[in-house]
Amino acid sequence: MDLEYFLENYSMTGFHPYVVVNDNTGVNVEVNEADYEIWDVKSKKGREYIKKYNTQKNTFKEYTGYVIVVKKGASVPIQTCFLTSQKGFVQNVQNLIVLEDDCEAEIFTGCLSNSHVNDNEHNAVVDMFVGKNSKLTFNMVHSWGKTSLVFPKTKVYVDEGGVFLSNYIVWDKVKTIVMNPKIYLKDNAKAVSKALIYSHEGSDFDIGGTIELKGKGSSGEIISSIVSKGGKYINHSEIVGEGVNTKGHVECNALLVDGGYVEAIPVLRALNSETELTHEASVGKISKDEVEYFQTKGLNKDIAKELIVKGFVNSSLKNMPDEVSKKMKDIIDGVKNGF
Amino acid sequence: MLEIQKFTVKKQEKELLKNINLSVSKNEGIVVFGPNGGGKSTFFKSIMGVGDFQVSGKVTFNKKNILNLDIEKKVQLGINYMYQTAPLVKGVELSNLLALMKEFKGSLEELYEEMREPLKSLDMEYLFDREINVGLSGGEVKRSELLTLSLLKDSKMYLLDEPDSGVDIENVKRLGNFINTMVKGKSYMIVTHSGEILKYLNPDRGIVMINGELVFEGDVNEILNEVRRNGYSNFSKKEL
Repeated sequence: MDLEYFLENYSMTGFHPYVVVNDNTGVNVEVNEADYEIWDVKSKKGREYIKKYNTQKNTFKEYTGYVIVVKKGASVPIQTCFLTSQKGFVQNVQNLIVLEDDCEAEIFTGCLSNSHVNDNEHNAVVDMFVGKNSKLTFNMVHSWGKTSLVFPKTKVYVDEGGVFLSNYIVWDKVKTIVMNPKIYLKDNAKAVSKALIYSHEGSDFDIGGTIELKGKGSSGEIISSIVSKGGKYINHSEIVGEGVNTKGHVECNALLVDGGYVEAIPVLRALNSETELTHEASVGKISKDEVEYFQTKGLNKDIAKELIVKGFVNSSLKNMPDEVSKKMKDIIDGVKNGF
Repeated sequence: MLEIQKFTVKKQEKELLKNINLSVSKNEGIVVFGPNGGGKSTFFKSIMGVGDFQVSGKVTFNKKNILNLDIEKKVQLGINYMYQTAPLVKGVELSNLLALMKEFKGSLEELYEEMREPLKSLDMEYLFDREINVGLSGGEVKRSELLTLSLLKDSKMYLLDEPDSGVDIENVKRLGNFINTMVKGKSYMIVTHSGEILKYLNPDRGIVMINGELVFEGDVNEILNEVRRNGYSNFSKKEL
């Protein structure tokens, strides 16, 4: 896939501003407005915020990244894109997203490598702070190369009454992704983390996450959907019920189209008798009944299977933001080589 | 048209249908009667190739052996099947299926326009963009299934498994009239328990299937009256 195609089809949602970071160069746009700020992570202001929020330690020698701060009362959509365009390049990123109290932000991130670039690597440390009664929707579509290695380390802190919604999609080939964000919730905060992954032959995924329900009345869900056509996918999703009157749910659904290794490990840890934690998982091949049903409608087996996979994906996209599900539907409808 | 000879069907070594012999002519309508578990649904499914059955014997359609053909090849030959209980398919909207069946290249809005008339005739415009059979009532499922059935091209024979079950009286009339139009000039076999839908059709004869055997063949009304009076206890092999 070339860059233009990606930017047009995967990443461009019409959100403004559009922050693009290529390899380890700095951010292309800095903003200092009443509603929000965007800074290069290495800028003076950027460094101040990193220090103020006591983020994860950044041990990179060379790195790039952004600091986004959304101010109290504001509501902003922001689009970002990280890409690598040199063979063998190791991109190191530190990002910080801060939502002050009583504000809202929707961030759409596309991450990719140029199609002719092999053996690249993307490392990241990401910290997100969602203030009291604020809401952050974080949408991420990954499209790295089939030889790419991807290792983001994300921590999310949600203050009282805050909401964090994450929608994460990997559809194209990639070599390795290890991504297990940790989300910490204070009183009455809520987090829903959804992922839709297409596992290709040769791919190796370790994707899941942890939600710690620290505050009373907080709730969290981790919902993963996997279409497996080879490769290895391990999902380790954990919810820790620490506060009283907390609720957590882990769900993992995998559709085995053609081989592949899928391992779903739901972990529920109750540290309090006033917590309610549930999980459900299903791993299985395409239903023969459904294929036959579509055959009785005159469709051949391959088309029937394709329709069922699309149905599975549509179900997974349900309740995701319109621009995410629409983008995904466009991408999937555009799959030329079938499933 | 459809010739069935010494047709035996097993599932995991259990014999479900035994030595069925039946001939269905062009434009002929046959009602298949029988108690629950008698083998009626298995009969249709195994002709169609739906489900995991071991079949033996001979089944030809217009002299072509169809026993081991893929389901969609049978559909292409003109044999169309309506499930008693159609599966629900999460995430796939009826409109997606209609577009594929009609090989429609336009937008969904254009497809809706094109489908407006048949959708309306089954009072199911609102089901156009719903997931297939998900959360629908029994009657809605039947209407939806009939709609897609009616779209299949070059139909020559319909196998209709209880199209009226779970359907209220008013809708039985609607479905009956729809089926009557659909099967005009075609052959069909229909399973019904209530017989209500037969008011709107004009079948030629009835057959009774009990314990996987075809035990009786005769006039539809006679069979229906006997079933209503005495159930299936008086039907036996010797009456054939």
